[in-house]
Amino acid sequence: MMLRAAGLCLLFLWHTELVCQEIKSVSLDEVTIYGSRISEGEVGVMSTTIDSLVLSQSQGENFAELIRKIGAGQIRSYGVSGLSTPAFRGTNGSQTSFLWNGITLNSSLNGSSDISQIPITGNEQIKIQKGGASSLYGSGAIGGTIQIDSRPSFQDNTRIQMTGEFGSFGRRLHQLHFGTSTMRKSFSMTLYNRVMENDYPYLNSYRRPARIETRNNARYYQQGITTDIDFRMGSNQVIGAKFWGQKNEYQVPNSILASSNASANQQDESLRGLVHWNYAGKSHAIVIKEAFVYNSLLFTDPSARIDSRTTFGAWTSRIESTWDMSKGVSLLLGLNHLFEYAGEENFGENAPERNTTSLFGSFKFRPAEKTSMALNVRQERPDGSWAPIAPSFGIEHQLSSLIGLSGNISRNYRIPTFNDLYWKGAGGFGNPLLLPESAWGGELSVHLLAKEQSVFQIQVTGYSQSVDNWILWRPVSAEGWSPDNVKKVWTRGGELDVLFEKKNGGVNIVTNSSYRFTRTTNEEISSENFIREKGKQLSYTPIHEFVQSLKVEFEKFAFLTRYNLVGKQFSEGENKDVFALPSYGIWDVSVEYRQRDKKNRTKIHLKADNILNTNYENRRGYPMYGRNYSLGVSIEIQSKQQ
Amino acid sequence: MNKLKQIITKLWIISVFILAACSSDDSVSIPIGTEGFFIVNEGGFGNGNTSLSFYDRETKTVANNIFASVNGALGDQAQSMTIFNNVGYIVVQNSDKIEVINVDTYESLGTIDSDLPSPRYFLGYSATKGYVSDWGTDGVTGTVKVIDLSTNTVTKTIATGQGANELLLLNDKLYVANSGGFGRDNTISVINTTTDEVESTITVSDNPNSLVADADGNIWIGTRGHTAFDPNTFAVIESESTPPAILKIDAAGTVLLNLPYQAVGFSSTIKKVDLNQAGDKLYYLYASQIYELSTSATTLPSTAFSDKFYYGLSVDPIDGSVLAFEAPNFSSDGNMDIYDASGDLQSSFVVGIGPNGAIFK
Repeated sequence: MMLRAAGLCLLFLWHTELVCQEIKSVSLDEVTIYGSRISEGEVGVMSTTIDSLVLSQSQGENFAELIRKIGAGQIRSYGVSGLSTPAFRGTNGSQTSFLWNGITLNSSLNGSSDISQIPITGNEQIKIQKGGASSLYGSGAIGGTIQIDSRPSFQDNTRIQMTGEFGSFGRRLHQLHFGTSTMRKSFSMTLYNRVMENDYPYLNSYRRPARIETRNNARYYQQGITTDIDFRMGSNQVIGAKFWGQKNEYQVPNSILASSNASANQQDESLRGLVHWNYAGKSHAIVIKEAFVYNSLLFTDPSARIDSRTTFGAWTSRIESTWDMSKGVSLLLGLNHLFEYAGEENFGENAPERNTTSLFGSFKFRPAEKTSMALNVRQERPDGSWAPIAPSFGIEHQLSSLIGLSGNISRNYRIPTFNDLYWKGAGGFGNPLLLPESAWGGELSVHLLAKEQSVFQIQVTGYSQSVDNWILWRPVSAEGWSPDNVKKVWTRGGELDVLFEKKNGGVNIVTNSSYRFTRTTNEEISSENFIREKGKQLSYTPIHEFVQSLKVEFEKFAFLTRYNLVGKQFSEGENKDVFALPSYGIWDVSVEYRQRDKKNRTKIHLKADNILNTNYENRRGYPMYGRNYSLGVSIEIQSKQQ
Repeated sequence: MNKLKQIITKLWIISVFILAACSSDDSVSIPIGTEGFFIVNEGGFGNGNTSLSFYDRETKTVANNIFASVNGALGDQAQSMTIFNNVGYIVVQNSDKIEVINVDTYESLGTIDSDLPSPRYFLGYSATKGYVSDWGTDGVTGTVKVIDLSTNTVTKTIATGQGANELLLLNDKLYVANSGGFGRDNTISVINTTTDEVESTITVSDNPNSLVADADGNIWIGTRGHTAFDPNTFAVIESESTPPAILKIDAAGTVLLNLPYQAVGFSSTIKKVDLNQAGDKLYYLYASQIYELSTSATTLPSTAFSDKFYYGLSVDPIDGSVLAFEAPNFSSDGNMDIYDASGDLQSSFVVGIGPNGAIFK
């Protein structure tokens, strides 16, 4: 029964305290000794944990592809290897926090994270949380958060996993994972490289007559290393360190609306490091973290004579302390300090620095056996100013064994980025007087769960959030572009998720349907110049999205198929059909073969994505892959039986 | 369980209904073959929403997106259009191409899309020859391309100054305003249309971008001026900057009149000059406002023609109306204001994104 519930939670599109409490009890020991407990404040908040089969088949892909496939959110993308930022519930990339073991990887310069640069190694835990959560995760968590974590195992074992994937358009992945652990220490390391030639054909319908062209200047090369080392001291302490280094070298293709003679390329280096100490007593836990991130980006375009380097970094210090008072009642208090800086390349002598101190607290309680609540609050102080104080309140209530309700209300915010405040360069200048974006929002969900021989789950969610002081860059004069707090944007929508699972003999069938309706409109425009955009849907935000997936597992085989339908997307401010991206449907199919004996595991998968060969774009002029195939092989050898 | 199935079915139907309930498109009625003028709308740079509009003189209405309605997307950042021998040449700078259209049906007659790295303006010379100014990929390698209009291919590249921009044919010579592009220049190249080579270079003020010939056969030139700035602080370095100016030269290149403004800086620029139908009154766009100047004047006017700020300007050669184009931003539609010659606003129309000028049939 417990295992059944655990499996269910992994598949499930939402995670609520009450539905999934059984899985927590399974690994309670590990959870309480290791890792932050901030996420326990996510009461009444929607989150998605990724299906293990999807994750295993996504090795070699990036986060943009993964999020597209599972339909958890929207990707704003400049093509296959181009800048891709995640957007949840009608917000944008800078309103989505990307957290690596709790540390934000969003750029201090532009506020967003390019998730096309973040590979899926298959060794991480991934959680996607939707809706505002600034009370827990701070600035930028307006639309949602993507959380990736790595955890030590502390089991006596050594394992090596080798993965190779080969696919269409020169796609190659090589990955080596090594892990060794005892009851006292845990070490793991992953080395990866990804190469994509990206010389894929696409239909250029912007040309007359429309013609098939081959993408050029789109080669992509990435290599990286992650290491984790942890020591368990006594029965209640863990000390450890994590490191993630990555280098990308890639060509930057042009818009196919423009010239095909692109010559731009980019070289990125990123280093991320983290040391942490965890203490978990009987009813008191402490987590201390010190982390740094460093990024260097070099953009060159020989034909346009551009050679531009950008560097930025951050240092985070955090302490959080949790007191467990009684069953289901706990208090967490934390203090965070973030130091951010940017290099002189773009800001000259006045290269910006910022110190932000945050105090946060989370009180979780259970006023009744079937009711769980959390009250969270966070206050940030960036460089002597005050960010909006961000409280949130969440509730989960189980009405009956069949029906549960959950909901939350929250205030969320985003403090302006360095570019917003201080950019000075060709074509624009920052605005040091910008105010933080500030939002109030809430959501309500009803979920039904019926378990007999089969499992039915339905969740219906409605949400609404109003974002004030929305920061927008716009042309202000002949001198160029500048940002201002020009807009009030109202995002609201509905999400429907239906899951059906049936086990019959050796066959396991899971279907998942998810539909998202998103309205995100300009409500107030401070300048008359934007009057024609009032009440209109923000660009590149589809109103309708739908994903249907089917998974069939039978003996050593797993079959997965998925259909994504993305509605029309407007590309400009007035919602004109003539410039809109048409709706499109993508159909993916894959099959996996798994062989496992006592110590070894072999997985082979064959994927055919976009089998209907649909031509589509997520940004005008940036075509995506048509039909493409890949073959992946993964071999894992362990020293001990599992 | 059965109840659950019912609920699922109902939700399903609702969701399918929502998916199906998409809004219908507004159809555009296109005034085929009527008298009027075209309007080039640049669109937002990089967004691929440049467009072509048409003003119908008879019905006094504007039809937008006429190119897209007939042919499909126009591309990215159309800079200009020229009508020559009843054929329209739309120069789409950031798509590195020229779209050739029938000016009555707007149907595509072809695309000139090779050897044009950053084209700006087209000028038709003969049934088989046209010229196109081009900034080059880097924005400074200015050239004029010779086009064979029977094959729509580039047959020759003539090096000019930086940022080759507007073209003028006078006394069978081609005058090229070297606007600087992303660099700096202060010359007019004069091309011999028989040899297709630069035969002389006239030095004027910094960054000439627009030029017209008046009734006396003299050339009026608008120069943008040069703004030097500290790349770190963006502060204007006044001592190294030069102001914009209106110049009059004769066909041989002698400067007859040089009327510089006092102010320098990013907003103190001249963008466009145009003449009325009689060729005796100049209109130009300085600091985003319209000014008028008699071709016999010797000083700059002190007051603007209109209080409003504009992005583009054209003068109607038939009735002398001043067409002023407003681009409130580059993500939603702009406006065309029509003034009579005395400066009274007659009418306003919604046009495309970033309108920059009109082209007359």
